[in-house]
Amino acid sequence: MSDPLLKIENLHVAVEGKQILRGLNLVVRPGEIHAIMGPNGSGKSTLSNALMGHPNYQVTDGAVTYKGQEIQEWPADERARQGIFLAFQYPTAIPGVSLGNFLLAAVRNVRGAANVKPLEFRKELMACMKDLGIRQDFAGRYVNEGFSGGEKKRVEILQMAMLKPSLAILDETDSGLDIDALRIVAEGVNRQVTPEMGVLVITHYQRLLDYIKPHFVHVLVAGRIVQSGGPELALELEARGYDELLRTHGADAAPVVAGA
Amino acid sequence: MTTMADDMLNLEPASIEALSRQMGEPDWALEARRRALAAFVELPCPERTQEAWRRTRPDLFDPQGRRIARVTPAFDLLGEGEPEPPVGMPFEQALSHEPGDFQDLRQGGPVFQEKDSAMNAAWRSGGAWVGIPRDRALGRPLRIAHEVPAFQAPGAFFPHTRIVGRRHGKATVVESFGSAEGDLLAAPVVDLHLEEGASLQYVLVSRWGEGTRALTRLQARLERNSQLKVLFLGLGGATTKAFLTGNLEGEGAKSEFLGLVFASGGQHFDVDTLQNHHVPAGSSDVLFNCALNQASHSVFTGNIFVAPGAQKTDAYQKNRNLLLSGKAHADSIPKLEILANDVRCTHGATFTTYDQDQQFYLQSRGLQDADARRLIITGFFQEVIERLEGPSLVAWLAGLMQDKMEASLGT
Ligand SMILES: Nc1ncnc2c1ncn2[C@@H]1O[C@H](COP(=O)(O)OP(=O)(O)O)[C@@H](O)[C@H]1O
Ligand SMILES: [Mg+2]
Repeated sequence: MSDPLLKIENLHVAVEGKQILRGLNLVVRPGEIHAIMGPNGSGKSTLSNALMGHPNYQVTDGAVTYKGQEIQEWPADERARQGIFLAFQYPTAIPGVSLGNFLLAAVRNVRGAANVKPLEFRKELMACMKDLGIRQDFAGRYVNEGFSGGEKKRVEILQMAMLKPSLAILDETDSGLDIDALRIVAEGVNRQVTPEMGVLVITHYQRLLDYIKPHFVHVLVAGRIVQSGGPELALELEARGYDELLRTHGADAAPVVAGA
Repeated sequence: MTTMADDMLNLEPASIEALSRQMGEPDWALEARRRALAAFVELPCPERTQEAWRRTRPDLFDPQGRRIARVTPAFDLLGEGEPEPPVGMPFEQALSHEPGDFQDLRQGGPVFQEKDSAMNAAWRSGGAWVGIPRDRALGRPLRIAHEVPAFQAPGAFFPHTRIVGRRHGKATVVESFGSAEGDLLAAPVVDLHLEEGASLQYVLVSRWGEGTRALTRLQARLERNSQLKVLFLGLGGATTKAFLTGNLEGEGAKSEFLGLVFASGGQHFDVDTLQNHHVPAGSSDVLFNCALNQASHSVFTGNIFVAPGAQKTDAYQKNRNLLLSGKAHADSIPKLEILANDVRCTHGATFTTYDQDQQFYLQSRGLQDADARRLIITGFFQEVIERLEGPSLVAWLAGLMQDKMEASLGT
């Protein structure tokens, strides 16, 4: 078996002094797609942010190893340069910064400025935009400013396509997408997946997994993975819901906040 | 070209007579200076208790005992393309060449309300005139540079610029003001007059040297269906007080006043805008963004006046402040006086530091902390700059902001 791309051991994460992740374990090997499902407030976005290195998410215990290296001390930009990518659940608007300029800066930082020629970059960007059904004039629009929910999600996947990560974390990329957009975005992701790459698909609903087929499915409840299995687990969850799991595993957890 | 007057500025008529002679002006222009001098002597000094002077000391702008610097501006065109017909010249030349545009000076005017306006008119020592031809659209932006080179301190510089947009004429004019090191009082006056249907983009780049205290007055008159966009770019100088006024005098006139200030070190910028609606169906918009670093200070006072009967007025005002240091300070003061009932007026101000979410988003895409900050600041400017038309203009302005940002943030 190949060496793990990502190894999460006994991960504990607190936000503003509140313990959210409480002993999470997960191993992702190259070529694997893992789905993480769980009710609202179970800690899915907390895991995403902690993996990306958000300074407000404190790792209070446990370890994260990426390509054999402990990444605890790496700032977010270092993680990005090393090939970790997060498609945000709620992408942030950056007024006054055009998507094209932003992506050029990002690609330069990740690939090295010397390896990026503006003309080739432009061509590559236009091709990727076309694949994802994003109009060309979006390159001149300010990052996420005034974008609809679906447009934001497409643009997240556009960034993934341009940055070509080794580990992609998709945090509820399906939310806000109608069925056609969902298909386009999922196909976009599938095109990008390589045998060296690992993908964490985080979702509340099963429907995205009809398009991006996971090898493994994990259920996150109250900051821990309480059940793991194959793709069939997602269908099972869809049928019976999270209630029962919450009763068994969520009892000692903070109450679930709707819409979190 | 600069020439320093031999004498220190004083209240004797001899000082203005010498200036007028050196600048080769017609007799009526000297008469106008005499009237201005008399008004300067008569008008009271502004007091700190007056609303407009509460946050900037008016005595900083006392001209007495300073030597006057005379500066001839340089004219060129931005961008690439065909040369445009010359439409501008130094102010004093225009007095003889275009007397029709100076009826006010020839006929006993103007009546001065402010001591500093009279000061500029009495000791005027530079400036430019631009006449935008009727029914013509000038493609390339005209740039006028007023640079005070090394001078004998304490100095004083009083440029007056007049731009007349004739009926349905269209142009972009950029004026930049700079000075060498040393204690300088700079008090530019700019008057813009747009006739029916005229359209003007006017950019004032204030990049004075470190020892300059600047008092800027810009007054615009908009006739029927004329359109004006003004950008005030505050970059240089030690202390800057500016009054920017748009008088909407004809129905359907539209004015947009934009401002960008990047203050650093101990710089102080205090800008008043006035959206003056005298007639119905005018629209005015103000967007003023200030970024402040180190221990700098900015004040934005946004006045909106809607006269009785100026119905269907649309007036917007927005002031954004980006505080890049814990010691920087920004004030924002909206002042609305609305005497008509069927109008739409909105105003708002925001004060932010670096936004953590934006910072993390950019860092998650590989940008280092310092680069992420630069991009956020650049965006803050770009939002305003991109309201202007013309790629060469936008690129030139973005470059100016970039230079100031690099100088302020260091490497
Ligand atoms: N930045 C934050 N500040 C405070 N609490 C937070 C923050 N982010 C998440 N939480 C809390 O952590 C818990 C898990 O949230 P989250 O990871 O967003 O869950 P999910 O993505 O599974 O819906 C929730 O109770 C939420 O309120
Ligand atoms: Mg979430």
